[in-house]
Amino acid sequence: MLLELKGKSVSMLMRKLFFVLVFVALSLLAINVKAAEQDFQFHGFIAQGLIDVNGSDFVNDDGDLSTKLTEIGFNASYQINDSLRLAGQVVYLNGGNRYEEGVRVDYALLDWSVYDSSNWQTNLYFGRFKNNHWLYSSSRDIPFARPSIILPQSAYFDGFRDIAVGADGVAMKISHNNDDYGNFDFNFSYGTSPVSDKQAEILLSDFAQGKAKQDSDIQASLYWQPSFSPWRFGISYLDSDFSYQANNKGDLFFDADFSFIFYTANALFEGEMWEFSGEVHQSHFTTKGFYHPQHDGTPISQGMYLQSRYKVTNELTLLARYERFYNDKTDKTGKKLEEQTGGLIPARFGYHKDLTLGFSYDFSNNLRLRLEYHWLQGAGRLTPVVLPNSQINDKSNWQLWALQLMYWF
Amino acid sequence: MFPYQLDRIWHKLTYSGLGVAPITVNTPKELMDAVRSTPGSIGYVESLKDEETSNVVRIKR
Repeated sequence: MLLELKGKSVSMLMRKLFFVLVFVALSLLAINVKAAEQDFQFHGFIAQGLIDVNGSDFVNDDGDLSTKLTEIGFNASYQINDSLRLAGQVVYLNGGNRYEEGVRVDYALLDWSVYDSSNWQTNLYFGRFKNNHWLYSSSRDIPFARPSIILPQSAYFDGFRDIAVGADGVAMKISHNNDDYGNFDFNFSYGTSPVSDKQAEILLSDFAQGKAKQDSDIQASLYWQPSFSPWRFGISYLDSDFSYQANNKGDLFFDADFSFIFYTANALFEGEMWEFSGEVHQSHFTTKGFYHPQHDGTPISQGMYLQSRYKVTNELTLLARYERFYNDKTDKTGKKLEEQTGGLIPARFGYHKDLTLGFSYDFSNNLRLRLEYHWLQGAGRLTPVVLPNSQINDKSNWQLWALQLMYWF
Repeated sequence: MFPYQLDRIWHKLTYSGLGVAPITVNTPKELMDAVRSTPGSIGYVESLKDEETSNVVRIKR
């Protein structure tokens, strides 16, 4: 168990030339009231913001200033014994059109510390766990633990949020620390996510009257941080299958099988003042059926973002990010998409580009204000996905700004 | 490792269910008391007057 000094005193201490490390032997057997209290931990957060989008239905259909930027979470962790722990978190989210509004069980799991030595750690997680495979996948809903209010939509598309955020099943994490080669983290997970009617509507449009479900989701990732290096590198792989059962009473669509394969590579540099990060990814999305029973297509999409943060002071951090995404790497302008759909889906739905500038200011070590501006091109990351709304999303260039105040404990 | 990196690691663990963040105390004395009374615990302090009840490792940089 590690005990930490609160607030800035830590940063002051960390910079001192001399440290004294204190520890008491693991063999102490005394039953301690304080220790028992520490087995039970509660934490939470509350964040409220304002968001204004001009030129798309990203948050709302009317384009007015919106307060639909609310994130509230509460979690508890209970250490049953040396190797078993129970943990769960409930969140309330409201992001307007971005995802379904409401209360969710974010995670609810049994954490089994299978093996623990000075160089190796292995944990198994049973139940509902969070996706821990991409740079910001496990912290995408934690306002103060992600880099911006709106994450790069190419990788962290809010329309896929409820499916991508985690799964019900089993996950494994193996960590290895090596003096010569650095730190290695391997993650593996297998499970499924429930697909709500609202999630199906967000993905497919409200013309889809049938039922969508996820049949399986396998993910793996590997991270490597060289010894004493400010760099960290990662790769990830995802293979997921979905099916759609059409509603016999007048569905616009047909029975379908979907397969989604997604792989990413990322790099992160964390210096004293500067931070750089980036992710590149490619996906193969196979659709059999759906549009008509014989349909069989696998477009390959590509995306990337580069991000930098600079700590001006302990309180003030600046952010800059550039992102690009193409729904079909052979159709980067979307012209083929427009031709193939007879003009029903305009070319701008084939891509998504975003330039973001912002800052965050910490009033204390658990109260932060964040402000950001996005210049966007293309409608490729707007909902619904399959049958886009080209009436509202009638512009190639659109913008948004957002402000969010966040508190955590 | 910089203090903000530690904060990020603890935030990620605490709010994603992967692990447990450290107990937070307010003064070096509280830290020493907590280390003494918590089996298996470790803590960092700048200087130390009383070393008798704990094991101490000095770190130079």
